Amino acid sequence: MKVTLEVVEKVAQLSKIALNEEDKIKYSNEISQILDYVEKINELDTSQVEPTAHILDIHNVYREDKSGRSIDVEILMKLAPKHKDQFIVVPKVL
Amino acid sequence: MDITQLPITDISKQFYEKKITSKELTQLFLNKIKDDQNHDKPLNAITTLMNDKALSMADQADQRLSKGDKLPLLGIPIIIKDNINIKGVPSSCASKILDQYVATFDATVISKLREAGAVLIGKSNMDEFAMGSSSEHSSFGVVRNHVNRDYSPGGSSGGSATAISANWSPIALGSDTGGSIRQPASFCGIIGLKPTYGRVSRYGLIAYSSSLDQIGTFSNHIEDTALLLEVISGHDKMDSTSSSVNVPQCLNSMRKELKGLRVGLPKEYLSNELSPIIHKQIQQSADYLKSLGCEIIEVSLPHTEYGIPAYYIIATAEASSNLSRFDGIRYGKRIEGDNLNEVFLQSRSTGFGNEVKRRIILGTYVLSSGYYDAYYLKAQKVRTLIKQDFVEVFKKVDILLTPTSPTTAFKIGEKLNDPLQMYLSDIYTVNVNLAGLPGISIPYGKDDKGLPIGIQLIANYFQEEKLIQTSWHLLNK
Repeated sequence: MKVTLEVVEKVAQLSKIALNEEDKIKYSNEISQILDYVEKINELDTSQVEPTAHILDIHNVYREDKSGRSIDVEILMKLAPKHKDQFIVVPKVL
Repeated sequence: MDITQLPITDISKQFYEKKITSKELTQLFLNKIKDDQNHDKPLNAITTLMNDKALSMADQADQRLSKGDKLPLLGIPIIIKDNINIKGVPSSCASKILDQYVATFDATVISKLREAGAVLIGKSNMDEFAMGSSSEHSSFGVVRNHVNRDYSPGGSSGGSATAISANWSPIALGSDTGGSIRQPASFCGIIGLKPTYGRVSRYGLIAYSSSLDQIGTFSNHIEDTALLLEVISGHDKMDSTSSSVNVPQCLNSMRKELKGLRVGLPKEYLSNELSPIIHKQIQQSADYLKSLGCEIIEVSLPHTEYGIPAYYIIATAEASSNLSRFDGIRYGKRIEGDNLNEVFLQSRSTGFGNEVKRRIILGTYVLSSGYYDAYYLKAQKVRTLIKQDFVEVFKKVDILLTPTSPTTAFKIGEKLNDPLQMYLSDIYTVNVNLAGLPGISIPYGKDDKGLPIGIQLIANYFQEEKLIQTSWHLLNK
């Protein structure tokens, strides 16, 4: 098994996803199978190949440092699960 | 003929001849959608029906029509995949984590549709966050294929595809990251176009895999594909990856003769995995193109089989990053906990479905320290090889003719428990995304069960005109 239960648990924590024992077994099996399959790419010699992150020949785009109109804070606040005035309420951090 | 089946230019003509108003037409489509809920196997293609909003947009269109205004889509209803933002309307991505989310701005494609006079009538069901090939992974439940309701419409844009097949609107928008427009178009017997990466702005499209995602079109008539593509294309300052290449003028060039066109048949796409009846249809379409004076050339794309592996590394890696924004804090569903970490963990675990969780975990794994070079970097290098295959082949041919999917539609539930088998239904479409090329699926015959067969055309960068022109000839045989 390529991806052990411990590895799945660790990666799930990094992904901020909680898994129960049953899920851990399921994902460890499925992800191991998928990894076995995707490792097919190791058949290729890519030592002389440059990676492609993006397909078009694009470069950074600058805009003028000028403020513009954005979405009203009130509208955005309505979407927050919990808010008070113009602040989003979350559990105590420290 | 039933007006709900007519191409847009014919509908527009009826508007100007005052045979029907946009409001009447919109009501016809809305009724069709509502009536289907009484079916014992509803298509379940729509997540939000924009009833009142649609009728009010149609009203406005009628006022402009009566003044003689001329706009490309004036009064024409359209359905939008539920991962594209319409201001004031829910954008759910078919995910529980966004079930209370109402978009606060219009995607650029929506602004362009409004400028063109279109009437937005509803949001369409899909695989959660566009991750899937069957439209079964949805918080709104399974979508059914209009051709045969026991079958999947494909995915992830299955709602848009089956809705167009059912004539619930003349046109629809979807998104295509690895085949999510072309594969469902093929399964539902309609036309689905994925434009060149960068042709259409992605601003307001909720991201799955940003270097692969592209918004595209669904329709029953190729001239409607051309019209819609012209409306939604173009550079947008809100998406710096959108291209400033001139907007294609497909309607003008669509009927031009094909004589002399060099059509490539990639041998790797006609291998043993391909269903024999689809193979036959490819051969027939090639023969027909030959009879029109095209030159048919066998070509090779040697890295084809490495597409799915590279795709599942790159797409899940990008997804794991893109979907980190869903944390239950600023919007979406929150499950309260004792501390912030608990809020994140519980909100995301409850809010995301299985397929999405699997892909986020896989994506996090391939990006994590110690595995990055072996998986992610390696996949990006394979992506270069796949792109180079196409660059080489387009020196010899103008267009490629391939199947869209190795099989016709599969039954609902058939591949649900085998993620790898599900992934393989995109084997002929993913490389087009990895290379960023434009591709189209058009209906070309049916199999012995009466299920539609789709064939795919692939062109070089920004040559959508060639796709539409070749499709027009194949469809007007």
